[in-house]
Amino acid sequence: MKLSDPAFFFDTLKTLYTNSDTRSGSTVHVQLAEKVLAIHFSRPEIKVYMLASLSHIVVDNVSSADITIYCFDSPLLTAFPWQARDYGVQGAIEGFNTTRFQTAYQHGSGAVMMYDHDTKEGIYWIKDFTDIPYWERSFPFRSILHWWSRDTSLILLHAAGIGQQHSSALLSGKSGSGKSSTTLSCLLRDDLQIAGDDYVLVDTETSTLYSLYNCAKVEWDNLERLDFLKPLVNTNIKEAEKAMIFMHETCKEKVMQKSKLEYAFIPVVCRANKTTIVECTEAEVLKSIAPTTMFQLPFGQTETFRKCITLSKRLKPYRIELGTNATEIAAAISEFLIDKK
Amino acid sequence: MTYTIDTNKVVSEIFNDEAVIVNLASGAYYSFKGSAITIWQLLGAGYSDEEIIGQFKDAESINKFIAFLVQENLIATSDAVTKQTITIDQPFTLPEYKKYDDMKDLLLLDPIHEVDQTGWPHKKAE
Repeated sequence: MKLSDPAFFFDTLKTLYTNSDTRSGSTVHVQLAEKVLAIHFSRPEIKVYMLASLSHIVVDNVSSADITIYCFDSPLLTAFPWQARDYGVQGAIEGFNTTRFQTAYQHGSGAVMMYDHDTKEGIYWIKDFTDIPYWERSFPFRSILHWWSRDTSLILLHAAGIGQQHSSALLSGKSGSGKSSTTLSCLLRDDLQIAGDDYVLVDTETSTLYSLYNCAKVEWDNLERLDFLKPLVNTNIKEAEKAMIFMHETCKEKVMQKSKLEYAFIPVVCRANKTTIVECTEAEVLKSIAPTTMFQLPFGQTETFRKCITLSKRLKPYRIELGTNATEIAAAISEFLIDKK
Repeated sequence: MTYTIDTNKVVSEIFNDEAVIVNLASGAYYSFKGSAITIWQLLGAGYSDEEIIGQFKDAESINKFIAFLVQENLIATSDAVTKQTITIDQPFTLPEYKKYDDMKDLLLLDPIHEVDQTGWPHKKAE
Protein backbone atom coordinates (compact mmCIF):
# COMPACT_ATOMS: atom_id res chain seq x y z
CA MET A 1 0.00 0.00 0.00
CA LYS A 2 1.12 3.53 -0.64
CA LEU A 3 0.24 6.90 0.77
CA SER A 4 -2.04 7.79 -2.13
CA ASP A 5 -4.15 4.69 -1.49
CA PRO A 6 -7.37 5.69 0.32
CA ALA A 7 -7.23 2.49 2.42
CA PHE A 8 -3.72 3.39 3.58
CA PHE A 9 -4.73 6.96 4.36
CA PHE A 10 -7.79 5.75 6.27
CA ASP A 11 -5.57 3.46 8.38
CA THR A 12 -3.14 6.31 8.90
CA LEU A 13 -5.90 8.50 10.29
CA LYS A 14 -7.26 5.70 12.44
CA THR A 15 -3.81 5.00 13.87
CA LEU A 16 -3.41 8.70 14.56
CA TYR A 17 -6.66 8.59 16.52
CA THR A 18 -5.62 5.49 18.45
CA ASN A 19 -2.20 6.90 19.33
CA SER A 20 -3.41 10.37 20.12
CA ASP A 21 -1.77 11.62 23.32
CA THR A 22 -4.86 13.55 24.18
CA ARG A 23 -7.13 10.51 23.89
CA SER A 24 -8.98 10.50 27.16
CA GLY A 25 -12.37 11.22 25.78
CA SER A 26 -15.41 9.08 25.64
CA THR A 27 -17.70 7.12 23.45
CA VAL A 28 -21.28 8.16 22.90
CA HIS A 29 -24.03 6.14 21.28
CA VAL A 30 -26.83 7.82 19.37
CA GLN A 31 -29.98 6.47 17.79
CA LEU A 32 -29.71 6.82 14.04
CA ALA A 33 -33.17 5.94 12.70
CA GLU A 34 -33.45 2.27 13.76
CA LYS A 35 -29.66 1.85 13.99
CA VAL A 36 -27.04 2.82 16.55
CA LEU A 37 -24.10 5.09 15.87
CA ALA A 38 -21.04 5.03 18.14
CA ILE A 39 -19.00 8.21 18.18
CA HIS A 40 -15.54 8.03 19.72
CA PHE A 41 -14.36 11.49 20.70
CA SER A 42 -10.68 11.89 21.45
CA ARG A 43 -11.24 14.65 23.98
CA PRO A 44 -14.15 15.72 26.18
CA GLU A 45 -13.96 19.26 24.76
CA ILE A 46 -14.66 18.01 21.26
CA LYS A 47 -17.52 15.89 22.55
CA VAL A 48 -19.13 18.91 24.20
CA TYR A 49 -18.60 21.00 21.07
CA MET A 50 -19.95 18.49 18.58
CA LEU A 51 -22.65 16.67 20.51
CA ALA A 52 -25.15 19.43 21.32
CA SER A 53 -27.15 18.94 18.14
CA LEU A 54 -27.26 15.15 18.64
CA SER A 55 -27.91 15.15 22.39
CA HIS A 56 -31.62 14.30 22.03
CA ILE A 57 -30.85 10.95 20.41
CA VAL A 58 -28.12 9.82 22.78
CA VAL A 59 -28.81 6.30 24.06
CA ASP A 60 -27.32 4.55 27.08
CA ASN A 61 -26.51 0.94 27.86
CA VAL A 62 -25.65 -0.01 24.32
CA SER A 63 -23.05 -2.69 23.71
CA SER A 64 -22.73 -2.63 19.95
CA ALA A 65 -23.14 -0.21 17.10
CA ASP A 66 -24.04 -0.37 13.42
CA ILE A 67 -21.78 2.50 12.42
CA THR A 68 -18.77 4.07 14.11
CA ILE A 69 -17.24 7.53 13.82
CA TYR A 70 -13.86 8.54 15.21
CA CYS A 71 -13.77 12.28 15.83
CA PHE A 72 -10.48 13.83 16.86
CA ASP A 73 -8.07 16.67 16.43
CA SER A 74 -4.36 16.24 15.99
CA PRO A 75 -1.56 18.45 14.73
CA LEU A 76 0.50 15.41 13.74
CA LEU A 77 -0.97 15.13 10.27
CA THR A 78 1.00 17.82 8.51
CA ALA A 79 0.55 16.94 4.84
CA PHE A 80 -2.11 15.33 2.71
CA PRO A 81 -1.38 12.65 0.11
CA TRP A 82 -3.11 14.67 -2.61
CA GLN A 83 -2.47 17.83 -4.57
CA ALA A 84 -4.40 21.11 -4.65
CA ARG A 85 -5.68 20.18 -8.12
CA ASP A 86 -7.41 17.11 -6.67
CA TYR A 87 -10.03 19.13 -4.81
CA GLY A 88 -13.39 18.94 -6.51
CA VAL A 89 -16.82 20.27 -5.82
CA GLN A 90 -18.22 19.83 -2.34
CA GLY A 91 -14.71 19.12 -1.11
CA ALA A 92 -14.50 15.71 -2.81
CA ILE A 93 -10.93 14.57 -3.35
CA GLU A 94 -10.00 13.03 -6.67
CA GLY A 95 -8.47 9.56 -6.26
CA PHE A 96 -9.76 9.11 -2.72
CA ASN A 97 -13.30 8.19 -3.59
CA THR A 98 -13.79 4.58 -4.58
CA THR A 99 -16.57 2.06 -4.26
CA ARG A 100 -15.29 1.43 -0.74
CA PHE A 101 -14.03 4.80 0.51
CA GLN A 102 -15.41 8.33 0.45
CA THR A 103 -13.25 11.30 1.27
CA ALA A 104 -13.96 15.02 1.44
CA TYR A 105 -12.13 18.07 2.67
CA GLN A 106 -13.99 20.79 4.49
CA HIS A 107 -12.77 24.07 3.09
CA GLY A 108 -12.43 26.80 5.65
CA SER A 109 -11.92 24.52 8.64
CA GLY A 110 -9.45 22.13 7.04
CA ALA A 111 -11.27 19.07 8.36
CA VAL A 112 -11.02 15.76 6.52
CA MET A 113 -13.91 13.32 6.52
CA MET A 114 -13.64 9.71 5.40
CA TYR A 115 -16.02 6.78 5.33
CA ASP A 116 -15.36 3.10 4.73
CA HIS A 117 -18.49 1.45 3.27
CA ASP A 118 -17.17 -2.02 4.09
CA THR A 119 -16.52 -1.56 7.80
CA LYS A 120 -19.08 1.24 8.30
CA GLU A 121 -16.44 3.37 10.00
CA GLY A 122 -16.10 7.10 9.53
CA ILE A 123 -13.38 9.53 10.52
CA TYR A 124 -13.63 13.24 11.21
CA TRP A 125 -10.18 14.74 11.62
CA ILE A 126 -9.27 18.35 12.15
CA LYS A 127 -5.95 19.89 13.13
CA ASP A 128 -7.46 21.86 16.02
CA PHE A 129 -11.07 21.42 17.07
CA THR A 130 -11.43 25.16 17.71
CA ASP A 131 -11.31 25.51 13.91
CA ILE A 132 -14.56 23.55 13.56
CA PRO A 133 -17.01 26.06 12.06
CA TYR A 134 -20.17 26.96 13.95
CA TRP A 135 -22.40 25.49 11.26
CA GLU A 136 -20.80 22.08 11.68
CA ARG A 137 -22.18 22.12 15.22
CA SER A 138 -25.69 22.41 13.81
CA PHE A 139 -25.32 19.32 11.60
CA PRO A 140 -22.25 17.38 12.77
CA PHE A 141 -20.90 14.60 10.57
CA ARG A 142 -23.52 15.19 7.88
CA SER A 143 -21.23 14.09 5.02
CA ILE A 144 -20.30 10.84 6.81
CA LEU A 145 -23.93 10.13 7.65
CA HIS A 146 -24.92 10.87 4.06
CA TRP A 147 -22.34 8.33 2.84
CA TRP A 148 -23.61 5.76 5.33
CA SER A 149 -27.21 6.33 4.26
CA ARG A 150 -26.28 5.55 0.64
CA ASP A 151 -26.16 1.85 1.58
CA THR A 152 -29.61 1.95 3.19
CA SER A 153 -33.17 2.95 2.32
CA LEU A 154 -32.61 6.14 4.33
CA ILE A 155 -31.90 9.55 2.95
CA LEU A 156 -30.33 12.48 4.75
CA LEU A 157 -32.71 15.04 3.34
CA HIS A 158 -32.07 18.77 3.18
CA ALA A 159 -35.48 19.73 4.51
CA ALA A 160 -37.21 20.50 7.77
CA GLY A 161 -39.53 18.03 9.49
CA ILE A 162 -42.53 19.14 11.53
CA GLY A 163 -45.74 17.62 12.77
CA GLN A 164 -47.50 15.67 15.44
CA GLN A 165 -46.86 12.21 16.81
CA HIS A 166 -49.37 10.58 14.48
CA SER A 167 -48.41 12.43 11.33
CA SER A 168 -45.71 14.70 10.02
CA ALA A 169 -44.64 16.77 7.06
CA LEU A 170 -41.49 17.78 5.29
CA LEU A 171 -40.92 21.46 4.76
CA SER A 172 -38.67 22.07 1.81
CA GLY A 173 -37.73 25.11 -0.12
CA LYS A 174 -35.02 27.45 -1.24
CA SER A 175 -33.32 29.92 1.00
CA GLY A 176 -35.76 32.76 1.66
CA SER A 177 -38.80 30.60 1.02
CA GLY A 178 -39.94 30.87 4.62
CA LYS A 179 -38.90 27.33 5.53
CA SER A 180 -37.06 28.27 8.72
CA SER A 181 -39.69 30.72 9.94
CA THR A 182 -42.45 28.20 9.30
CA THR A 183 -40.53 25.48 11.12
CA LEU A 184 -39.84 27.69 14.10
CA SER A 185 -43.46 28.86 14.25
CA CYS A 186 -44.23 25.30 15.41
CA LEU A 187 -42.64 26.23 18.74
CA LEU A 188 -45.71 28.37 19.37
CA ARG A 189 -48.13 25.44 19.41
CA ASP A 190 -48.22 22.78 22.10
CA ASP A 191 -49.48 20.19 19.63
CA LEU A 192 -46.69 20.68 17.09
CA GLN A 193 -43.13 19.41 17.23
CA ILE A 194 -39.99 19.75 15.14
CA ALA A 195 -37.85 16.85 13.93
CA GLY A 196 -35.25 19.13 12.39
CA ASP A 197 -35.00 22.54 10.74
CA ASP A 198 -32.38 21.81 8.10
CA TYR A 199 -31.68 18.08 7.74
CA VAL A 200 -33.79 15.07 8.65
CA LEU A 201 -33.44 11.34 8.11
CA VAL A 202 -36.24 9.71 6.15
CA ASP A 203 -36.75 6.04 5.41
CA THR A 204 -37.97 6.04 1.83
CA GLU A 205 -39.37 2.50 2.12
CA THR A 206 -41.47 3.05 5.23
CA SER A 207 -42.03 6.82 4.95
CA THR A 208 -40.76 7.29 8.48
CA LEU A 209 -39.34 10.63 9.56
CA TYR A 210 -36.47 10.55 12.06
CA SER A 211 -34.94 13.46 13.89
CA LEU A 212 -31.19 13.76 13.58
CA TYR A 213 -30.23 17.28 14.64
CA ASN A 214 -32.05 19.29 17.29
CA CYS A 215 -30.41 22.59 16.38
CA ALA A 216 -32.58 25.21 14.75
CA LYS A 217 -31.11 28.29 13.14
CA VAL A 218 -32.59 31.68 12.46
CA GLU A 219 -31.22 34.80 10.83
CA TRP A 220 -30.29 37.35 13.48
CA ASP A 221 -32.47 39.92 11.68
CA ASN A 222 -35.47 37.62 11.89
CA LEU A 223 -35.17 37.41 15.67
CA GLU A 224 -36.80 40.82 15.91
CA ARG A 225 -39.85 39.53 14.07
CA LEU A 226 -39.82 36.15 15.84
CA ASP A 227 -39.10 37.54 19.28
CA PHE A 228 -40.52 34.47 21.02
CA LEU A 229 -37.25 32.78 20.00
CA LYS A 230 -34.96 35.20 21.83
CA PRO A 231 -34.96 33.35 25.18
CA LEU A 232 -34.04 30.11 23.38
CA VAL A 233 -30.99 31.36 21.47
CA ASN A 234 -27.58 30.10 22.52
CA THR A 235 -25.83 33.41 23.10
CA ASN A 236 -22.42 31.76 23.49
CA ILE A 237 -22.13 31.31 19.73
CA LYS A 238 -21.84 34.92 18.73
CA GLU A 239 -19.64 34.38 15.69
CA ALA A 240 -22.40 32.50 13.91
CA GLU A 241 -24.07 34.05 10.91
CA LYS A 242 -27.34 32.73 12.30
CA ALA A 243 -28.67 32.50 15.83
CA MET A 244 -28.62 28.89 17.00
CA ILE A 245 -31.22 27.20 19.17
CA PHE A 246 -30.40 23.79 20.61
CA MET A 247 -33.96 22.67 21.20
CA HIS A 248 -33.03 19.70 23.38
CA GLU A 249 -31.47 22.14 25.87
CA THR A 250 -34.15 24.80 25.84
CA CYS A 251 -37.45 23.23 24.81
CA LYS A 252 -36.94 19.47 24.97
CA GLU A 253 -40.63 18.68 24.57
CA LYS A 254 -40.69 20.30 21.15
CA VAL A 255 -38.31 17.79 19.56
CA MET A 256 -40.04 15.03 17.65
CA GLN A 257 -37.89 11.88 17.49
CA LYS A 258 -39.86 9.86 14.99
CA SER A 259 -43.14 10.11 13.12
CA LYS A 260 -45.06 8.76 10.17
CA LEU A 261 -44.27 11.03 7.26
CA GLU A 262 -47.33 11.78 5.16
CA TYR A 263 -47.07 15.26 3.68
CA ALA A 264 -44.68 17.50 1.82
CA PHE A 265 -45.19 21.23 2.37
CA ILE A 266 -43.58 23.74 0.06
CA PRO A 267 -43.65 27.13 1.78
CA VAL A 268 -44.25 30.22 -0.32
CA VAL A 269 -43.98 33.71 1.14
CA CYS A 270 -47.19 35.49 0.19
CA ARG A 271 -47.47 38.13 2.90
CA ALA A 272 -51.19 37.48 2.88
CA ASN A 273 -53.40 38.04 5.91
CA LYS A 274 -54.12 34.36 6.20
CA THR A 275 -52.01 31.22 5.80
CA THR A 276 -53.54 28.69 3.44
CA ILE A 277 -52.50 25.17 2.56
CA VAL A 278 -53.36 24.08 -0.96
CA GLU A 279 -52.62 21.01 -3.03
CA CYS A 280 -49.70 21.08 -5.44
CA THR A 281 -47.93 18.47 -7.55
CA GLU A 282 -45.42 15.68 -7.01
CA ALA A 283 -43.10 17.41 -9.48
CA GLU A 284 -43.08 20.54 -7.32
CA VAL A 285 -42.08 18.41 -4.35
CA LEU A 286 -39.27 16.76 -6.30
CA LYS A 287 -37.94 20.15 -7.42
CA SER A 288 -37.99 21.41 -3.85
CA ILE A 289 -36.23 18.44 -2.20
CA ALA A 290 -33.96 16.84 -4.78
CA PRO A 291 -31.50 19.47 -6.12
CA THR A 292 -30.82 21.05 -2.75
CA THR A 293 -30.09 17.65 -1.19
CA MET A 294 -28.10 16.36 -4.17
CA PHE A 295 -25.77 19.33 -4.40
CA GLN A 296 -25.22 20.08 -0.71
CA LEU A 297 -23.67 16.71 0.01
CA PRO A 298 -20.72 15.09 -1.74
CA PHE A 299 -21.39 12.06 -3.95
CA GLY A 300 -24.40 9.84 -4.52
CA GLN A 301 -26.37 12.40 -6.53
CA THR A 302 -28.11 9.81 -8.71
CA GLU A 303 -29.14 7.65 -5.74
CA THR A 304 -30.31 10.74 -3.90
CA PHE A 305 -32.43 11.73 -6.91
CA ARG A 306 -34.01 8.26 -7.05
CA LYS A 307 -34.80 8.32 -3.33
CA CYS A 308 -36.32 11.80 -3.70
CA ILE A 309 -38.53 10.53 -6.55
CA THR A 310 -39.78 7.71 -4.32
CA LEU A 311 -40.53 10.19 -1.55
CA SER A 312 -42.22 12.72 -3.80
CA LYS A 313 -44.58 9.98 -5.01
CA ARG A 314 -45.31 8.68 -1.51
CA LEU A 315 -46.05 12.00 0.15
CA LYS A 316 -49.18 14.09 -0.33
CA PRO A 317 -47.99 17.34 -1.89
CA TYR A 318 -49.09 20.74 -0.59
CA ARG A 319 -48.03 24.33 -0.95
CA ILE A 320 -48.26 26.40 2.21
CA GLU A 321 -48.95 30.00 1.29
CA LEU A 322 -47.62 31.90 4.25
CA GLY A 323 -49.25 34.77 5.99
CA THR A 324 -47.20 37.13 8.08
CA ASN A 325 -48.19 36.02 11.56
CA ALA A 326 -46.17 33.12 13.03
CA THR A 327 -48.92 32.11 15.47
CA GLU A 328 -51.40 31.96 12.64
CA ILE A 329 -49.01 29.90 10.47
CA ALA A 330 -48.63 27.35 13.26
CA ALA A 331 -52.40 27.26 13.77
CA ALA A 332 -52.97 26.58 10.07
CA ILE A 333 -50.51 23.66 10.15
CA SER A 334 -52.06 22.25 13.31
CA GLU A 335 -55.60 22.49 11.92
CA PHE A 336 -54.50 20.88 8.68
CA LEU A 337 -52.92 17.89 10.41
CA ILE A 338 -55.90 17.43 12.73
CA ASP A 339 -58.37 17.69 9.83
CA LYS A 340 -56.50 15.02 7.91
CA LYS A 341 -56.25 12.69 10.89
CA MET B 1 -30.07 13.83 -36.61
CA THR B 2 -30.43 11.69 -33.50
CA TYR B 3 -29.35 12.44 -29.96
CA THR B 4 -28.41 10.66 -26.74
CA ILE B 5 -28.99 11.47 -23.13
CA ASP B 6 -25.96 10.61 -21.00
CA THR B 7 -27.64 9.18 -17.92
CA ASN B 8 -24.38 9.47 -15.99
CA LYS B 9 -24.69 13.23 -16.29
CA VAL B 10 -28.41 13.84 -16.62
CA VAL B 11 -31.18 12.35 -14.50
CA SER B 12 -34.89 12.87 -15.03
CA GLU B 13 -38.32 11.88 -13.91
CA ILE B 14 -41.56 12.25 -15.82
CA PHE B 15 -44.78 12.90 -13.95
CA ASN B 16 -48.25 13.25 -15.49
CA ASP B 17 -47.94 16.89 -16.44
CA GLU B 18 -44.32 17.80 -15.81
CA ALA B 19 -40.85 16.37 -16.27
CA VAL B 20 -38.01 17.26 -13.90
CA ILE B 21 -34.51 17.05 -15.35
CA VAL B 22 -31.24 17.58 -13.45
CA ASN B 23 -27.83 18.21 -15.00
CA LEU B 24 -25.46 16.61 -12.49
CA ALA B 25 -22.42 18.44 -13.85
CA SER B 26 -23.77 21.98 -13.79
CA GLY B 27 -26.28 21.71 -10.96
CA ALA B 28 -28.98 23.25 -13.16
CA TYR B 29 -32.39 21.66 -13.13
CA TYR B 30 -35.32 22.03 -15.45
CA SER B 31 -39.08 21.76 -15.65
CA PHE B 32 -40.59 20.58 -18.93
CA LYS B 33 -44.29 20.84 -19.67
CA GLY B 34 -46.54 20.50 -22.70
CA SER B 35 -45.00 18.67 -25.64
CA ALA B 36 -41.53 19.29 -24.22
CA ILE B 37 -42.14 16.12 -22.21
CA THR B 38 -42.97 14.03 -25.27
CA ILE B 39 -40.09 15.47 -27.30
CA TRP B 40 -37.72 14.66 -24.44
CA GLN B 41 -39.02 11.08 -24.36
CA LEU B 42 -38.75 10.72 -28.14
CA LEU B 43 -35.19 12.05 -28.23
CA GLY B 44 -34.22 9.68 -25.44
CA ALA B 45 -35.77 6.80 -27.36
CA GLY B 46 -33.65 7.53 -30.41
CA TYR B 47 -36.08 9.47 -32.64
CA SER B 48 -34.44 12.01 -34.95
CA ASP B 49 -35.38 15.69 -34.99
CA GLU B 50 -36.79 15.17 -38.51
CA GLU B 51 -39.06 12.40 -37.26
CA ILE B 52 -40.29 14.52 -34.37
CA ILE B 53 -40.96 17.51 -36.60
CA GLY B 54 -42.70 15.17 -39.06
CA GLN B 55 -44.95 14.01 -36.28
CA PHE B 56 -45.76 17.37 -34.74
CA LYS B 57 -45.22 19.77 -37.71
CA ASP B 58 -44.18 22.76 -35.58
CA ALA B 59 -40.55 22.91 -36.76
CA GLU B 60 -39.80 26.28 -35.22
CA SER B 61 -40.71 25.46 -31.63
CA ILE B 62 -39.22 21.95 -31.83
CA ASN B 63 -35.91 23.14 -33.28
CA LYS B 64 -35.75 25.88 -30.68
CA PHE B 65 -36.34 23.39 -27.87
CA ILE B 66 -33.77 20.91 -29.20
CA ALA B 67 -31.22 23.72 -29.55
CA PHE B 68 -31.88 24.59 -25.92
CA LEU B 69 -31.31 20.97 -24.87
CA VAL B 70 -28.01 20.85 -26.76
CA GLN B 71 -26.89 24.20 -25.34
CA GLU B 72 -27.63 22.99 -21.81
CA ASN B 73 -25.71 19.74 -22.43
CA LEU B 74 -28.79 17.69 -21.69
CA ILE B 75 -28.46 15.86 -25.02
CA ALA B 76 -25.63 15.26 -27.46
CA THR B 77 -25.68 14.34 -31.12
CA SER B 78 -25.45 10.64 -31.85
CA ASP B 79 -24.86 8.27 -34.74
CA ALA B 80 -27.19 5.67 -33.26
CA VAL B 81 -29.78 4.28 -35.66
CA THR B 82 -31.75 2.06 -33.31
CA LYS B 83 -34.73 3.41 -31.57
CA GLN B 84 -37.37 2.34 -29.14
CA THR B 85 -40.89 2.86 -30.49
CA ILE B 86 -43.04 5.22 -28.47
CA THR B 87 -46.78 5.63 -28.95
CA ILE B 88 -47.73 9.29 -28.99
CA ASP B 89 -51.22 9.82 -27.68
CA GLN B 90 -51.07 13.48 -26.70
CA PRO B 91 -51.91 16.32 -29.10
CA PHE B 92 -49.09 18.80 -29.71
CA THR B 93 -48.85 21.77 -27.40
CA LEU B 94 -46.04 24.28 -27.37
CA PRO B 95 -43.00 22.99 -25.50
CA GLU B 96 -42.69 24.78 -22.16
CA TYR B 97 -39.35 24.65 -20.42
CA LYS B 98 -37.84 26.47 -17.50
CA LYS B 99 -34.31 26.43 -16.14
CA TYR B 100 -33.45 26.76 -12.45
CA ASP B 101 -29.83 27.55 -11.64
CA ASP B 102 -29.98 28.31 -7.94
CA MET B 103 -27.66 25.34 -7.24
CA LYS B 104 -25.06 26.47 -9.74
CA ASP B 105 -23.12 28.72 -7.39
CA LEU B 106 -22.71 25.88 -4.96
CA LEU B 107 -20.96 23.77 -7.58
CA LEU B 108 -18.95 26.46 -9.28
CA LEU B 109 -17.24 27.78 -6.18
CA ASP B 110 -13.51 27.49 -6.58
CA PRO B 111 -12.73 25.51 -3.45
CA ILE B 112 -9.28 26.97 -2.99
CA HIS B 113 -9.86 30.62 -3.73
CA GLU B 114 -13.50 31.37 -3.20
CA VAL B 115 -14.18 30.43 0.38
CA ASP B 116 -13.69 32.61 3.40
CA GLN B 117 -12.92 31.54 6.92
CA THR B 118 -16.52 30.52 7.59
CA GLY B 119 -15.86 27.72 5.10
CA TRP B 120 -17.74 26.03 2.34
CA PRO B 121 -20.40 26.53 1.07
CA HIS B 122 -20.33 30.20 1.89
CA LYS B 123 -19.22 32.43 -0.94
CA LYS B 124 -16.36 34.75 -0.28
CA ALA B 125 -17.47 38.33 0.19
CA GLU B 126 -16.65 40.63 -2.71
